[in-house]
Amino acid sequence: MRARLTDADTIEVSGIGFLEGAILWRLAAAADPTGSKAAQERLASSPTAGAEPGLDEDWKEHVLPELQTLFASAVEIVRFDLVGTWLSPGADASMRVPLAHVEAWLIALNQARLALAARHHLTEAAMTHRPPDDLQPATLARLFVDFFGGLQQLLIDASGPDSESSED
Amino acid sequence: MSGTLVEQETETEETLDVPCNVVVHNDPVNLMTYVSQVFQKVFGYSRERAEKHMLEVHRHGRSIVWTGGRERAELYVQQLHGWLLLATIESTT
Repeated sequence: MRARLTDADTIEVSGIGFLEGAILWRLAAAADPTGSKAAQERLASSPTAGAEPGLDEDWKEHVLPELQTLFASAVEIVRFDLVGTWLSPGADASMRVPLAHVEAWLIALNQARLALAARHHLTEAAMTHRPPDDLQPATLARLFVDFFGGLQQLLIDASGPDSESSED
Repeated sequence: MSGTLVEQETETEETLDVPCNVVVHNDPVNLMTYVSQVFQKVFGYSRERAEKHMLEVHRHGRSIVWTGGRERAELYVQQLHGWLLLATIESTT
């Protein structure tokens, strides 16, 4: 999988294999913390770590809804960009990400990574060692976290100040 | 602690406000480049300055990324939460 600026406004992500595309299509579901208290708590962390209960309560009432709207909006933008990405076995796909959508992509990918790690209780050690050779849900979650992180890095590199656009 | 970076900003309109630290805590899931880029976007830091704070978070578990009036500190924490970083406000008194 590769990402490059194709013009001043667009990043093309190409070489998306069938399996990678299938994981990408799971991004919205992966970012949804429903059903996991750990994931919900990670996506709604306290602004004082419990030191100021009054501020924590105000935060939950006034700020958290805004943040949740931001997160939902980021996932919707990703969903929109993915609509044109058709996948078929044996053929690589590509997709175009407008530069204006890169922040939404980075937030949605991070949301998915954090929610997955919290939901499956992935520790720092589990994140840094080679994943075990099994098909347990936590192992698959780790692979998703790595894949989404790889795409985050591609988008950061492609949208950064050092990237160069090229025309076909 | 020697080597600890403390960003300070003084604003006349906030001099009567209680000074607060904005602290970012380590999260092993967040990419280091992502954290560095968020510091550049939220605070307008140079890449070098952002990377110093990112490395401090990575190595020491936390970094005071900004110090100033409470109202603005809360706004910064909200922005950092919007990027899903673990950030808190700490009173300096």
